[in-house]
Amino acid sequence: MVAHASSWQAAGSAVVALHGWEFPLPGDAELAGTSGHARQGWMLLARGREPLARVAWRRHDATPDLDRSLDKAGEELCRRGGCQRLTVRRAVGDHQRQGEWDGPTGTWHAAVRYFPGTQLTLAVTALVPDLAVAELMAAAQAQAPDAPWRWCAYGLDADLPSWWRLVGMQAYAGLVRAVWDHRPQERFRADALVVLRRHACAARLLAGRDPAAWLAAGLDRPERIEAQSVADEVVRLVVSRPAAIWWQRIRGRRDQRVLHAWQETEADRLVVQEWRGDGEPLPCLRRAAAEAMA
Amino acid sequence: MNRSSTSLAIPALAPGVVVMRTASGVCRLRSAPLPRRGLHRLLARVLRLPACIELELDDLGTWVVERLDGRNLERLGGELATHARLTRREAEVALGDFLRQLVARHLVRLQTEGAA
Repeated sequence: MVAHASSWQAAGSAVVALHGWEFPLPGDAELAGTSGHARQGWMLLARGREPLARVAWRRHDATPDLDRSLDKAGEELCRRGGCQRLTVRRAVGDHQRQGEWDGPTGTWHAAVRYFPGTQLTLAVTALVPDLAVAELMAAAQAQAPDAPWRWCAYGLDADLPSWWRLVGMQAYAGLVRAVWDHRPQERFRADALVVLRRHACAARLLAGRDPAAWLAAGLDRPERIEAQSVADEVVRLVVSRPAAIWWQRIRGRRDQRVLHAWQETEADRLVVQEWRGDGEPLPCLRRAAAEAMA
Repeated sequence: MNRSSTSLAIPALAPGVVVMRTASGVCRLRSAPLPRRGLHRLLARVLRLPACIELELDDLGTWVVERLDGRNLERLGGELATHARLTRREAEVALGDFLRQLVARHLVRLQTEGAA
């Protein structure tokens, strides 16, 4: 069964962008699952119920041995496709290797690419025969450590400074939620959190209310609204509540949350951005270009 | 049933299920009288348990029940994705959860294509 991309599919869903890299999606493919963190992990691309490819990433201080990485990617292909031997090994420049393995059901492909300057290595392994991964790998990009990183997965699309780390991302039917935290100098405790939630069926959720009223109705009892504004169809709410730590509460300090909410009318989605913590709140992360594409 | 054959299954109202319409236009389903025997029947009488299961649906549930006319799960999932502007995967999960609840309440049953 093929999942056809509809006009209300996630805006900007032609790529997956996580942890400082972007990887293009083959036509009609979607992100089926991810695992890992900024230093290493993998993701699974699928088309309908058919797995297409597995993309793994890893950051390490030393320059990787790409031939060895390609051989390791091929081990899985040999197990899955019954391949016997590597038939083609191709070097594309100094930082990319591509391989082909012949099996009884077709030719299986894998590619490995190192991005100097970012210490990032991507490895893509085809999970079906005759899937050309070389073009996909050629279109992959790594983002510089000092530039904003794009995060694009499951319909969420935002740019965040590179010092924000993804804590977790959940994609449920009707809700996608991602949490980032900021840990200054790699401390154990985060000093700020950003949560993005993308709700489906926004019209049913709002039930005729505007997003500001919906947000206000969902506040906890001790919270009160300090400021409210609307600009470019984005609602901004600043709410505060008594501090969580008792001695700060005694001193009269209040913890702040900054909420932004906007609707993606074409896809009937409601996106809520929540920031809490110390320091300067993040601005709205809505991508105007992605909205225009939708 | 494996995953691929599940998508070809046809959901249908269970025998004896009555579909009623409320004033607001949504469906209210009433199951056939629940089969109870012996001690179960006695306890049900003592505790005055309802003889049937009744369930009132919202507009989306009504929309799905109105389309239990021989369409298989795959087709129903595609139409739900179109109607509610969901992705295919979201529609299938939502539809599966909804029908699972109806099956547990003896209101819907799944048939294979040959048996339909």
